Amino acid sequence: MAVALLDSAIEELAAAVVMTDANDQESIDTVRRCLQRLREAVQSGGESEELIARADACIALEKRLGVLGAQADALALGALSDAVGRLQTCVATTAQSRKPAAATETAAGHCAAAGKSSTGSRASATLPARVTRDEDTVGLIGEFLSESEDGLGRADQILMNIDHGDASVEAVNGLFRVFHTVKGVAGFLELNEITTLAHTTETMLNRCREGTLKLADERLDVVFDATAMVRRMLGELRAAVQDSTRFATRENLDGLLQRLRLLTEDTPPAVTAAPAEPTPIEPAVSVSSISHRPEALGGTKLRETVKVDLDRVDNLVAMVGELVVVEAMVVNAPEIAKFGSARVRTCLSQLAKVTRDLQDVGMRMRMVPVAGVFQRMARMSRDLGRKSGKQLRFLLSGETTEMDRSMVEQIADPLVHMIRNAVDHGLEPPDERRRAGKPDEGTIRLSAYHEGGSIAIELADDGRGLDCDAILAKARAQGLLGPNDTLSESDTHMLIFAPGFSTAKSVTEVSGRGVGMDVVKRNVEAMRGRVTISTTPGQGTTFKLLLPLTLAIIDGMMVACGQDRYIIPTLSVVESVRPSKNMLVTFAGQVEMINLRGQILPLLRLARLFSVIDAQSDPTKAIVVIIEGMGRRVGLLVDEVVTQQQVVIKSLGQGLGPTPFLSGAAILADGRVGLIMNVDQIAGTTVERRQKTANDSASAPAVL
Amino acid sequence: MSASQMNAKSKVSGIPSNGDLAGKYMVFRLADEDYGLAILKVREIIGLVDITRVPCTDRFIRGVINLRGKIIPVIDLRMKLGMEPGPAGEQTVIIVVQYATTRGEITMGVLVDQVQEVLTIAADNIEPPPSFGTGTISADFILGIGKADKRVIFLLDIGRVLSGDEAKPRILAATA
Repeated sequence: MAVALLDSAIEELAAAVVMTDANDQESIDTVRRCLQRLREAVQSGGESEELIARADACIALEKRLGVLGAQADALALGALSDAVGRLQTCVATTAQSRKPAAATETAAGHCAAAGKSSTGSRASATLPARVTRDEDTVGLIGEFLSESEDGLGRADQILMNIDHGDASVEAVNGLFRVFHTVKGVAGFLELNEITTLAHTTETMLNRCREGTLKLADERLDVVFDATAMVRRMLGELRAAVQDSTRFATRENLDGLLQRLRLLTEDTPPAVTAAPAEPTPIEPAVSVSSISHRPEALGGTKLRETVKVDLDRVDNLVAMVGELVVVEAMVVNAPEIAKFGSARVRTCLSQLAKVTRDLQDVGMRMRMVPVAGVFQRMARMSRDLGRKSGKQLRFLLSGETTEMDRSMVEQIADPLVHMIRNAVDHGLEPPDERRRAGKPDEGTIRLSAYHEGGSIAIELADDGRGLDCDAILAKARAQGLLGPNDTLSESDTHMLIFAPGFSTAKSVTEVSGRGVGMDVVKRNVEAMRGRVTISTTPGQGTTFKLLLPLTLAIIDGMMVACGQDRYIIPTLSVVESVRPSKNMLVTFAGQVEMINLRGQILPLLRLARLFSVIDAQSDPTKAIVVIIEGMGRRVGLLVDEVVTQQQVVIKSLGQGLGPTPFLSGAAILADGRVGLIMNVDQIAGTTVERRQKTANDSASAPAVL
Repeated sequence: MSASQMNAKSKVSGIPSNGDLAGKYMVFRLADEDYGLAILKVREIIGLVDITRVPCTDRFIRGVINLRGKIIPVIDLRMKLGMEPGPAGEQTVIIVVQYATTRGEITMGVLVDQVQEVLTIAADNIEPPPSFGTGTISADFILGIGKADKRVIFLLDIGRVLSGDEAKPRILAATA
């Protein structure tokens, strides 16, 4: 008996603590009263071992409450709720020793529900709520609504399964978790009626989970009803928030609650049943909670989210892409052009507009702000700074910039490496900074912004900058360069992206970077982006990732070479020129180069690379497209530039085997397939040659 | 060899028995030879469309085409089997096949000289593939040899023919 009494007292306390508000003396008093009851229960419980343990915990609690009284702040409340958690754990363990068959569950979840009865509900129902309803709360309610609906859907599924004979513990656990989550969030949002219902259902489910009750027949029915009821109340809540009216459920919960309780009380613990008379829930309480500041709501629109299978979104985006292509085909069809009708023209331009809008919406479906990743980086840099003993300020800007969802996930890895580098190698220790006349505190700035049709992510530090000499020395030591090879400044910087270019030992002391930087380059290139570095010795280094807006659609430049048409991603095109005779340089009559305003760039003939037979062989009658990949610029000789257009990227599919120099394909306006060039690979061919010659340390140039 | 003996043998070696092979085949021509493709693998037959050449791929890959918004590769079956490429004629068509691999379903176009008919070939009219000896286009591509009206129809294992891993060394061996 004493145990049952104790159980009920603890439950009441737990409920009271949940509802406590630091500024509300009344709620604190309730906690105090609950504690007293608990103490009495322990004292009346005799000398049994388990109770002594509880008494200890109880005394500790009372002490904490003393603190609470003096300085009732959030911290003390947190400590109190921890203490209650521990007390509940303690009860749980002893309860289990009493009931060997009881399921071993985590203490918190177990106790939050264990044998809770109407006492707890009453406690929560009578406490006034104090949450102010600002925009954040409305946002939370939105999330709560969509999450809970997911959960209820799951609950329905499980209930159906149970109804069809699935009596596994897993199923009951699943149900329990759904109601537990609803209860938790609803409690936090002070949606008391929902909390009470979820809580009462959870209590019964917990008994079922422990094996003391069987979830069947009437009990199953009541859970069905409870699920439906929670759903109805969520609907009311949604309406209430949207119209910024008061949330007061019209549903009558009493009957359902009582049924739940009766079905929970099948087993004898009589004392808990004592205050079991249904407590009428005063709607006024919850009204006050929601309509606390109705003006703040002012017809607030809930930002709700729907979870959709990513494949479906991709499919939709792909189909919209198709539509864009077909639309272009229709609008540009010569047959249509023959129509002089103004009406047809109006319709066509309308079609074009709608298609563009649709494409926009489609692309936006995959877009999320970078804020999440940025904040993670900010947290990480704080930790890194602390570990490395450097003081640093981490500044963020442009967090609201949106990017393709999958890309946001993919930039996280490169950013981690870049920030680690900036902290480890970029920023100097405080004393060195002071010597250099810089403030002790280093600054790392992470920003995102739109640049042209792309998104730029920039990481800038005000550290020592890259030391070209050290990098070159390291590269020579590692055999990446011949002993007498020299590289341009930007080529030197790019060396830090070479795989295995570790600066772990010698270079770190001098400066230099490169730890995991090959990951950065790989990931960024996988997203068809580019990395550039700009650095000033002693002033700092800036890494800039230039990424496409979306992975599905790119701006392309279509070039012709003989009969073939190829698409070069516009992001990689620097410029295109028709070379004059004096711009063309050859070395040993074989290796061709182009002198572009003093910049000597390797010249690749696309016709040779792709074995095109009928291409223009005289460069002065052709076009050189300057492309940039892997931080290198290369001139690509093509017959002509045909057009610029947006294309939907498609995979070349399996069955082709390796497709070097190509990254995908697209369907062109005439319905044919256009191949998209992999600029990095093409630009990389010249690097490979150079590295090969460097490795051979032979000065003879390789023939293209 | 009696049919039952043969069935027993082929079951042991994991090759489908003649009984499994019986069924409907799409019969097509390459030069003056008849070939058969299990009808269930055939999605559709389309006329010769613009094929976009894909550079730097195997010779037998003619390129890619746009099949209602999907990009699929097209292989020249003549070249794949080591024959000389034939001239594109009026009758030249692309048979779109779909087959399952460990990497999922693959859709491909197969360029053939001419499609003839759909034939039902009974188990009795199917011979096991003969041994061609080593170094030639292997019998692995062939499930069996069908006989109909005195014609000989090579029943192709299209999955084997088209899967890249099998194909390469064979072609090398054939051209070596």
